[in-house]
Amino acid sequence: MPGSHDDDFASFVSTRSGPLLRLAVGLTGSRPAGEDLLQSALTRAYLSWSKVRGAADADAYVRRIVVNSHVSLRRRRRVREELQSDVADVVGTAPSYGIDDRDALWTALARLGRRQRAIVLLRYYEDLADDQIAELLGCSPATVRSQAMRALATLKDLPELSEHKPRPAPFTATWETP
Amino acid sequence: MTDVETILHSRLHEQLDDIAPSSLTTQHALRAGHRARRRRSAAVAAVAVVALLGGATTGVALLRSGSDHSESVIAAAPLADRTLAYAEQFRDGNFASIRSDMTPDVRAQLSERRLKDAWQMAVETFGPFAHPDPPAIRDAGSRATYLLRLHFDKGDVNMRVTYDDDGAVIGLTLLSAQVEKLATVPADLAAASRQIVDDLAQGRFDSVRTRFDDRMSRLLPVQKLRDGWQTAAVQEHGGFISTGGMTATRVLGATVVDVFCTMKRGELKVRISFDDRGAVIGLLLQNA
Repeated sequence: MPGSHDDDFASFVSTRSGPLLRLAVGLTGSRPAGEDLLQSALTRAYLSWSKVRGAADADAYVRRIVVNSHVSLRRRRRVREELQSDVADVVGTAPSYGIDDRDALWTALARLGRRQRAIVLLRYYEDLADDQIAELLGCSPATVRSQAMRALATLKDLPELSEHKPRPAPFTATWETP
Repeated sequence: MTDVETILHSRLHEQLDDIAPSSLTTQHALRAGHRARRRRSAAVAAVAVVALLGGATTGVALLRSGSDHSESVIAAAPLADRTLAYAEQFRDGNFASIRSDMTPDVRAQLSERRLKDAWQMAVETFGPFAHPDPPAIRDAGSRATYLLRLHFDKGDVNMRVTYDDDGAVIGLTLLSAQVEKLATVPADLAAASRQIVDDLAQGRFDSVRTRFDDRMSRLLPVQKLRDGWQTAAVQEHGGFISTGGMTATRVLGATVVDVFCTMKRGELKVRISFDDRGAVIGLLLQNA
């Protein structure tokens, strides 16, 4: 029934869009680009909803769509433009973050290729094991490991991530400190 | 974990964990899904035609060329209100809201930055925005194009918004309304325009693209160009016969050449915009 199809899809989106959006923002480096990516991925999921629901893990299925949509898209230039725009937004609207740190993180990740960036996100944000990442990306665990090593080697040499700076206190905490 | 791994782990969580989706995400996802399903099942595929006209152009129009456009003076209410709202959202810098009504294809081509740059260019060129006129509508089958004249202190801009049958935005352009009609078409641009039309008619799409500037090259790959010509020239007009007259106008530093082509069924206008170095910065196929 179309109604139950839509209800089921809407229920999934309402409960799972948060984690998926965070993954998409991490992959793209900005909220607008992440929302674009997520919307495209959800549209694809809607069109294949019976397959998604039939999968052993619907969440993993949609996450795979998000990641592979990002990896397959050739739009580096646009993402780079939006990254700059996002940094400008942050200066005015997000006082609870260290602006320099946020800038540095996305600048560093932008040096990576799409696949390497996806692996970094899946490893260090989603906390997936290499064999899970390999299945999601359709490659071997050995490829995941080698790509991860290359990504870390690139990031290690960048001044933005070469030392662990102490985190700035949140703005509200600063207010409470005499 | 190495130091870099530790830093990555902690910073990614610090940066991302607080991000929450909009309350509208579910509705948007459903709407987009419905649109995609209808589009997939439609017998006629939408065809991308075109891009930019003049220096102040912001957008990409995605049009299905086809039936004659009939123009009326007063637009129907819901989409007219939305079109007016976009003018206000441009003025207020609320570009995300404008983009939320676009199809994924158009969203992919019109970033917030591009919308912002276009509006800034309009303001820098014509001064502060004053007010819009009531919108007019050009109706083409299941699609509707709303035309809105935006008055600025020192000049006008025409905003054109095209909607599909679900009300999603499939095209958005801002064009300077200040045009200067040229008495004659510059000889070099006339020759280039004739060659471009000839290349299109002969299927030499790579050759056409060698004249594009970088932006056009990104927007119109060979396949998109071929599909646009196939639909506009072959399916809708039966095929190309010959090139007819030409006219030219100057729009904000660009020269726009209209080439009127005789087709097996009717006439097709090929509108080509050149920058001052002769690079193609816009290409539009329209019913003449």
